[in-house]
Amino acid sequence: MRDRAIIEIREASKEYETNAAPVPALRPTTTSIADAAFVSIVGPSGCGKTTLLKMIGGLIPASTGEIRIKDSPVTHPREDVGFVFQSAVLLPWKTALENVLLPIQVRRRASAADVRRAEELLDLVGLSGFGGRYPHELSGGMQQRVSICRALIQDPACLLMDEPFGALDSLTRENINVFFNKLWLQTGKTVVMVTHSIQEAVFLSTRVIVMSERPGQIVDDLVVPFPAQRAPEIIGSVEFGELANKVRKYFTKANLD
Amino acid sequence: MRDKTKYTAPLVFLVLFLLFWQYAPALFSIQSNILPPFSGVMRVFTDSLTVNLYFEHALVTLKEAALGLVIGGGLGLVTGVVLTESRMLMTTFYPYIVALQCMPKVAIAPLLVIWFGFGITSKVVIVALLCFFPVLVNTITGIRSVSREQLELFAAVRATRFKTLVHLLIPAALPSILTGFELAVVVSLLGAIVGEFVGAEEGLGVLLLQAQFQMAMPSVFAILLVLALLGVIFNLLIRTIRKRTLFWVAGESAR
Repeated sequence: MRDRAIIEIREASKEYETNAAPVPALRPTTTSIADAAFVSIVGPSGCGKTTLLKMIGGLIPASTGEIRIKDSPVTHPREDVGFVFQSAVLLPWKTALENVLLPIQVRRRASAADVRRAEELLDLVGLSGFGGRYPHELSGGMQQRVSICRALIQDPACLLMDEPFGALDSLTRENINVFFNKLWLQTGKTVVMVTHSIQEAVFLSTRVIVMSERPGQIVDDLVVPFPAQRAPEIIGSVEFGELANKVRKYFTKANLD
Repeated sequence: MRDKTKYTAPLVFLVLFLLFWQYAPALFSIQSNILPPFSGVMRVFTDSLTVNLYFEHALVTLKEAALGLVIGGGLGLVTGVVLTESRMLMTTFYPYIVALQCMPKVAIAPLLVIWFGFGITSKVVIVALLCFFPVLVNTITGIRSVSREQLELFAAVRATRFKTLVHLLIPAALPSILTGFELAVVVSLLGAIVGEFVGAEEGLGVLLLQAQFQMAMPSVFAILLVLALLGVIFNLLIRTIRKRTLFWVAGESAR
């Protein structure tokens, strides 16, 4: 069942209403994403990649077309989809553990089993014993890991991430990339990640979708041929460099035009 | 600044100021029924009957201010939340709130004394009226300061409006709300005293007027000192609450 599509995007487009003429953000886009895949979307700023991600997450409605997850149309945010934002967006008045439990607490009282699960997730991301800390006591990398736990607490089938590691310094970012590759293998989630970093996209993904400038559309769709488990060494390999260059070519061209 | 100078510098100033107060009347030959020396004011507090009297009346003023603060501030908070939740109510009432806020509200005091009498009620109403606005305005500002990303997070976790209010909007607005209460504390004592000036049977404002009629200047100053003390206590109380509840705001503990 590995290749079965879990997310289907059919002719989905987005126009933003403004006082003047409507601004097209995303041209009609069609693609599908396989179960347990790790798909990165890269593109220049304002190419509509975040818009596409938020449409998949049900945070903003599509202007035309349709998006389906597990064969049901996306009309609003769903329980089986977790969302990770650009910044951690932790609530500073709640502890790390309470922040992880937030998606449950806004629905019902968190049970002992929920708390145990939240603690397990914190263990999984290397934050054992940090559950009682407040966000201001955690580093940026730790905060983002807490927010990943929050997205995973309801055990969603899909994880949507909007430039999740963009705010981190490059060393922390490399470490968290290696760690996230492990996490993805362990949890078996379908991940769709928007990123500015070509290296990050190639390193983490099984597939890289390249988008053009606004109004965005898919201009290339590349399969990353490396084994699922990624070691940092592959970044230096010839194939990695070739693949990264292939993606980079689209942006250098766009900038010259 | 080092911790030592943080406390010693104001203390040194206080001592110098009190010394000046003590000797200035003699030095500049100011009559003691215009400006009594500090020792003359302190002598008022040596009489236990006077101290008891001040204490009883201070309790009345305190009660008026505290009740008005809780009622007015509470209503301001609730109104702020309701208005930010409903665009219709906001557009309907906000212009009138701004208009009312610009009006000098103590001017209503005589009217309120006629309506609610010389007892504590009219004073509580004046105080509540004065405390309502700073809390209301700061609640609205606070709730509007919530970031788009935080709201998007709550949409993503499918929180209802009520849950969003409880888990996001009110906690996020708390620093601003408490700033509103800090301002309200100041006007609460002001309102109580002005109310007592206009018409009351008890309270420090009444004592102050009596002392003024009798030209008992040491008593006037003594009552003013008691009022200043009440103000400081109120302020310390709200600041302690602030420090306890806003531990998560950067720089809050340094205030």
